Amino acid sequence: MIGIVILTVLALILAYVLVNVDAKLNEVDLNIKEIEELLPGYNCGACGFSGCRAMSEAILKDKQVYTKCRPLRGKAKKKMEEYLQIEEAN
Amino acid sequence: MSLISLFISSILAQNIILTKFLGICPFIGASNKEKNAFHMGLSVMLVVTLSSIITYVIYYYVLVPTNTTYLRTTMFVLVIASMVQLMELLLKKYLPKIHQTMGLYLPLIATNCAVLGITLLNINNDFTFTQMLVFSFGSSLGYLLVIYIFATIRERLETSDISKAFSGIPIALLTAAIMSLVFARYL
Repeated sequence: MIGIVILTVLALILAYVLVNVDAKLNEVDLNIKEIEELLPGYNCGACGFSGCRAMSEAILKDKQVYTKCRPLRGKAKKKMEEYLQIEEAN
Repeated sequence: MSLISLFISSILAQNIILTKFLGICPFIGASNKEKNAFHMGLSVMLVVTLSSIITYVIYYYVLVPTNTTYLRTTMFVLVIASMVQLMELLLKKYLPKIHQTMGLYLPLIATNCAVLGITLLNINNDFTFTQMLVFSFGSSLGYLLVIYIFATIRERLETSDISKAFSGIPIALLTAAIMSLVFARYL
């Protein structure tokens, strides 16, 4: 019982430290965060980038890259296109 | 045991790679270029020193008073993995080029038995706090020394004439064997 308590407390302390250090050291650009929230967030890698974070950085450099995201379709895709101000190919 | 003799023995006579035989994976894997090997050794030094201090403190002030020393291994691994992650975050922010060249080998320090070995040896040998500091710093310095020497030897071997069956890892292992003979008896 006491063992469970000790390990849980230790794990919580370490997690708190790591998350705060990460947040302070690696402050992300606001645009990257907004794009990342528009992406599905599966981190599947189907786009060829290493996760949704890397994909959002690539989209910032070249807007057309957003088509590579396979799970992005329907409403979510429209939202992304609105955000990136791309004309739909109708 | 006097601190100076502890320091010297942990670097040379009881070397963590060549005598105690721990931490072989990055020794063989990250030592093709001497620059990589040097950075690897420095990262191990940082992780080992930090983890030794924190695990020692947690062991003697939390685990021993509550009679839960059986949690030793789990707790050490938790702390070591967090220290490795912390070091990776710091490297990514302040030295991003080194972070990119080292790539996959940084998280591998978390499962490196040398780090866990040094922290457990601190407990098994009943060290005081200063002895623990000297031992961990000395052992990790010995790690850096050996991996750097090995990397320079390997770089030299690449430009020399070795038969195809032996080139690459086999000749590296033979070199490591000769090195450990030297460190065991003649240093």
